[in-house]
This record gives sequence, structure tokens and C-alpha cells, in this order.
Amino acid sequence: MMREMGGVGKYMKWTMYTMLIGSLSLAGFPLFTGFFSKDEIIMIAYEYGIAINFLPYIFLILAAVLTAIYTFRMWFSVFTGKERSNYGKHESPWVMLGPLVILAIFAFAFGFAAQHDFYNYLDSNFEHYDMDFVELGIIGGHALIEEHGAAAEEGEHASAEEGHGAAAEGEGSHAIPLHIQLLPYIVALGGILIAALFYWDRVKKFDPSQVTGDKDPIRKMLLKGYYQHEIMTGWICEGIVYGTALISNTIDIKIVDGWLNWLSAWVMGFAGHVRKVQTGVVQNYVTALMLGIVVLVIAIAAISLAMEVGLI
Amino acid sequence: MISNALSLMILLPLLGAIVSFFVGTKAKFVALIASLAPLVLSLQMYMEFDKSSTMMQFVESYNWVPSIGVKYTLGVDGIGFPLVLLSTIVTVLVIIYSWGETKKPNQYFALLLLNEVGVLGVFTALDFFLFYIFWEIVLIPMFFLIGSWGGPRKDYAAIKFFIYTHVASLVMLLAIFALYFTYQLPDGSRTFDMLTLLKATQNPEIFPPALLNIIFAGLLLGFLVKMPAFPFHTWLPDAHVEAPTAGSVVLAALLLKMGGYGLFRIIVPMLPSVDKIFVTIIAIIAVLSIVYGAFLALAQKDIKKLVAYSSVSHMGFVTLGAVALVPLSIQGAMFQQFSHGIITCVLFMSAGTIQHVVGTRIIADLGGLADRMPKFAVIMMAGFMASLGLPGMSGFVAEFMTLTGAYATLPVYVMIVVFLSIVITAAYHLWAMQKAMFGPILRKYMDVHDPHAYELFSMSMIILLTLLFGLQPGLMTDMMGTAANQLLQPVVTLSEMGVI
Repeated sequence: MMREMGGVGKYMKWTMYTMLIGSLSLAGFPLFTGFFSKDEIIMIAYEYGIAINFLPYIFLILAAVLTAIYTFRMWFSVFTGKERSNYGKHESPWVMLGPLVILAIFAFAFGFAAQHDFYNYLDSNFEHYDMDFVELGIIGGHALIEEHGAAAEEGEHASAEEGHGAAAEGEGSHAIPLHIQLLPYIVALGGILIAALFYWDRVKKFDPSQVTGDKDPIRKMLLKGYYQHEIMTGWICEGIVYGTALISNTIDIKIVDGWLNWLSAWVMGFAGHVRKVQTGVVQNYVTALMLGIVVLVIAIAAISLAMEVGLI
Repeated sequence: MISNALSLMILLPLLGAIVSFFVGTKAKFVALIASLAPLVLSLQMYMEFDKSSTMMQFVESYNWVPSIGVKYTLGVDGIGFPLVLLSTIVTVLVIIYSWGETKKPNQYFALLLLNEVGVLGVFTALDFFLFYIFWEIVLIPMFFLIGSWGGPRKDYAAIKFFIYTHVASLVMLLAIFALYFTYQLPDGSRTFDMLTLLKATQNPEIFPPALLNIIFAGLLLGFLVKMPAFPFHTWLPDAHVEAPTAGSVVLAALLLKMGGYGLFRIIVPMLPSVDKIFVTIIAIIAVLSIVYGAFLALAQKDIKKLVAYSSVSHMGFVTLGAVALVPLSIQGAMFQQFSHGIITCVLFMSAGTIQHVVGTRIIADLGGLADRMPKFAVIMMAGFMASLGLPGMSGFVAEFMTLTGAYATLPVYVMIVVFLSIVITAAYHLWAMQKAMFGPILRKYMDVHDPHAYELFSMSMIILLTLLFGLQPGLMTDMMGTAANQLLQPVVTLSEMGVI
């Protein structure tokens, strides 16, 4: 539990700094690897926003702020400050730190160092598709054509042209205003600053408990992990699915198999009655035999009489 | 190639059965040799089998009872031959798995061999009379295996198994007689020849639709009970739970496949000529078997019963693929027969091994066995993964082909239900595995240990086969594809093929 740590950096210097590099990269701090990928996507989303709508762009920015906040909330509250419980304190062995360091180097430098070569490599993967990156970014397909092409001309030819036009419009970032270009930097730094103001002892200005209390329903929901466990495991798996299984099992035993057992029990019961006819007393059998002969004779006589009269 | 290979393949286990019955405790060696011989023969035949030919191969035909048109005709194509291979492979592995059997071993191994005779006959007979004889022969060894070596409720299970499937067989026999007495050869005589009669059913002048529908329903019942499909499946869990391990393995791996074989050989060629409602009915039965079987498996407490119900679910894929009437789905369904045949072996062997090592099969009473039985745990895990359809193993290929093919003809909502059932399948496999094998070891199981080497050997061979056919499905599916394409064409009789 993160809440029980605090001040871990004192004992785990290597882990602290490699984690810092990873966190900065994840939060999209300028020049770190994570920044380049995030920046690229945000810019494409902005172009998409101009062409169609800004919803994806807004969500991306919000997500970027939150990423910066939660990453650094973790880093500050785990590695800085006072020890909040009596945990085992020692640095990890080198088999674990080695990979950590290597990954940290990549998390820091890969985006910047490999910028152009790596992008070219990525581009080359899309050579077989008949579109360039910008076109791909503006989800150039039908939605775009319907939004903007309808007003212009009709027919397949025209819409294809329109698609190209929109792509050309989005090409080159010089069309993007400066504040939009700077926004990713602001967002990353802002998020880290917010986290610091809440969780870094040295610059701490606010306490999380001022913002929220024990009775806050949002806090409750977050602590319960959006009730995922209750809903997925409790209701859906154990309730609906396993319940259906138990009901099916009962149906199978009582009905699908039950009628068969009922039938066989009935046959056995019927046989139990019928076998009593077999008394083993010869007189009974002879009586039955004679009765049978009488019935047969009467029946044959009746039939032949009926045939003579012409009833049959 | 030896002439009359198929006859020899059926005769050798029969001889082996007779010999092993009289040799007492040495029976297992006789049985092993008598089952290895057909395996070698069938592998030799596999090498010579022409996978691209739609003809019947290795055909033998002799007059048997000429006065009523009964012939001794054997032959295999892409439908039958994979199952012949399956039978020879599974029988050898089951005999090895049962190496430690001490209760009346001579009878035990003789019955296993007799069972092989029956199933090999069913998969190769091309004469309805002969087919029915073999079909019924199979009941006898299984009845005694359950009745003599079974668990506490063995009498109930054995009689239920026998009567249930026998009643269905009798209905099928009536349908066969109806075919026989309706169709006359040009010279006025009658015949039991399977392909000739099937060809005749495709001619509405010989078989009026009203009559054919009744005949079809009778045959269908015989096969669906054997499969088994919902709602005729209830003999299966009882038979499985009470049968000895080898009996369960043979029952699930070979006997159920007889139903599927009948579906392909007889039902699918007749489908175009009968009422269209039958396609809908069979499809509903298939989907219900898949989904309902999966739910039932999830509800079970006994690991062997869980595996038994999973058979109902998996065999539903065979029915579904057959009735979708697309070459790919039929091919997938045929492969599902083969694949389920080998995978279910390892599942039932696992359940049997747990039973005799630990003493119980109730999942809730088990726990942490992997700690003491590491080798067994690996093999069992691989078997369960194969059964739930892990890519790379044969079950995945089979289900993938079946569902991809079926997608073309079945409604989308049906497909959604079937796909969701795969989640249930994964759930009960993983849940059982986790409860029984993983987690902390229970104190009372501290001194359990890995089972005998011969048990592990049989099971690991099957895992290797699942991997082999999962990574190289073409070894089997090529010939199945040929047969599947041919199934959707009009029937060609043996004399038209020019093989007799």
C-alpha cells in the first residue's frame, strides 16, 4: 500500500531516480520519450478537432493532466517525506537494478535520439496503405467526407477530392496556433506541480483531506475501485453466470433426466403388478386357457355370422 | 501394402481379445501387442492414403448373405479414416495407461480390445447391416466395463447406458429397414449398401418426402443420442462418473465419435432432400448442447462429471459444424471429432489419476496438488488448456474452423451465444484447475506423489499429439477438406467410383 510507505528514497536511491525518469517520461515531460509520442498524438487529435470535433482532443488533454498528477502523487508520496510505517528497508539487488537502469536510459533518451529514424521506420510500415500519416490522423474516411463533402459536390469523384483537400489543409503544423503547441508542455508541468503541492512535503500547500472527507461519495467510489469487483465478480460472475449454471443443473436432474427415471419407475411398477398374474398354480393357467378359447370361438363365430349376413 | 488391410485391422484386436481372455495376468502384454498391430497398420495406411481423392479407399467387398443383399463391405475416406487413426492411437494409450490394472486383467483388456473391434468396424463398414452389427457390438464391452469395474452406482449407470443407447439404436434400425424395403435395385433385388441407399434417398421419386422425413428422424435420433446432444445426453454423465478411467476414456474418445460419424456419413447427405425444418431443429440442438453443456459443467462438483459435461458442450460443435453445411464448417467439425477425441483422453486420465492418487474427485476437497505432483500438474494443465481452446493446440483449430464456417450460414445472434459460451468454457476449466491443483497444499495431501510413469507417458503422448495437430492441422484436415467438399455433392456409389 502506497499509503504505508513514504521516505523510501532514503534507502532506495537507484530505484528512486530510475522511477523518477520513468515517471517524467510517462507524464510527458518535455524531451523525455513519453513526451514525443504523446505530443504527436495530441497534435493529430487537434487537427481532427478542427476537421470534425474536439472531443478526442479534450479527453486527451484531460488524460494527460491526470497522468501527470497520479504519476507524481505516487512518486512523491512513496519516495519523499517521512516513513509512515515500519517496512523492510533495503535497496534491490543488481539483477533488478540493472534492467531498471537500462530501461530508464531508454525512457529518457530514446524519444529524442531516435526521433527521425524511428518515425521513418514507423512510416515504412504504412507504405502499403495508400495514405500518409496526416491523412490517417484525420480519420480521412467517410465521416469526414460526409461532414464537409456534402455541401460541396456529389459523387465518388468529388468526395475523393474533398478528402485530399482536407488532408492538405491539416498538413504542416504551422497552421496550429502557438498556445496549442505549448499546451502539452503546460499540461505536463502543471500536473506535476499540482501533485507536488499536495504530496511533496517541501512545497506542500494543500492537504488532500481539505479537498475530500470520509463521507465523500467520489472518494468512496475510488477506494472501492469503481465497484468493479462487486459488479463483475459479485453480480455477473457469481450471480448471473453461476446462478444460471446451478439452475441448469437442477433442470437437468429434475426434468431432462427426471422424466426418464420416472418412466423407468413406472415400467417397473407396472411390471410388478402384472407379474402377479403368474401365480404358478396350474389350475389358474388352465382356466385362463379355457376362457381364451371360449372368447376366440365366440369372436370367430360372430365374425363369420356377420360376413354371411353381409355386415362386413 | 497388405491386401485387406481394414479386415486385418479389425481381426487382429479380435484375436487379441480372445487370447488375452485366456492368458490371465499376462493379458496386458497380449493386449499391447494386439493394439499396436492395428496402430502400425493404420499409420502405414496413412502414408498410402490419397488425401486429395474423393474415392473410398482400401475397399473390400464380399457377398455375405446374398439372399437378402447383405455384403461385407469395408472402405474409408476422409470422414472415416481420421477416426480409424484416432481409435488405434487411443486404444494403445488406454492400454498403457491401464498397465497397473489388477482386477481381472484378462477380462479387462479383452473388453478394451473388443471395443476397438467395434469402433473400427463402425468407422469402416459401408454396408448398413454390417454397420449396425458393429454399432451394437460396441455396447457390450462398455456395459461390462462399467458394470464390473465401475464405481458405487455402476449397476444403475451400466443399465441406463445400455438401454438408453440401445433404444436409440433400435429406432435407427427401423429406419435402416425402411430404407432397405423401400428401395429396389434395377434387377428387383434389395441391398443394404450404404452409399447406394443414400444415393437413392436423394431421388424424390424413390423416397417420397413424407416417408423420408420419418426415416431421417429415426436415423438422427440414433446418432444424436450417441453424440450425445441435448436433451438426450443424460446417460453420459452417469456412465462417465461410474465407469473406470479406461472406460471413460474410450467412451468419450471413441464411442461418442460414432454419433458424429453417423452425422457426416448419413445425415448430411440426406439433409438436402428432407424437410428444411430439420436444419433448424438440429442447429437449435447443437447450440443448446454447446451452451447448456458448458453451464452444466460449471455447476459440477465432481471433476469427472465436469469433464463429462464438457464433452456434451464440445460435441455440440460437431453438430453445429455439420448442420451449417459449409465445407469449412464441416471440415472443422470433423477435425473437432478427432481433436476432442484426443483431448478428452487426457482430461479423463487426469480425473482418474486424481481419484486413485488422492482418493476423491470432489473439487472442493482438493487443493494445491501441483505442489506434490508437479509433472502431473503440468500435463493436466496442458490438457485443460487444449480443451478450453488455447491457440497452438488442436482444439483451437477445430473450433475456429467450425465457427468461421458456421458464421456464413447461421444467424449472427446464434453465433454471439456460441462465442459467449467459450467464455464459460474457459471459466470452468480454469476454476477447476485452480481449485484442484494450485493454491496452498492441504495438510492431508502432504504425502501424495506423481502417478506411475506409464500413466504420465500416455498423457504426455496425447499432449504431444494435441500440439502436433494444433501446429500442423493439415496432417488431418487435408483429407477432411476433401471429404467435406464431397459431402455437399450428390452421393457417388462404390460401383460408380469403380472401386468394386
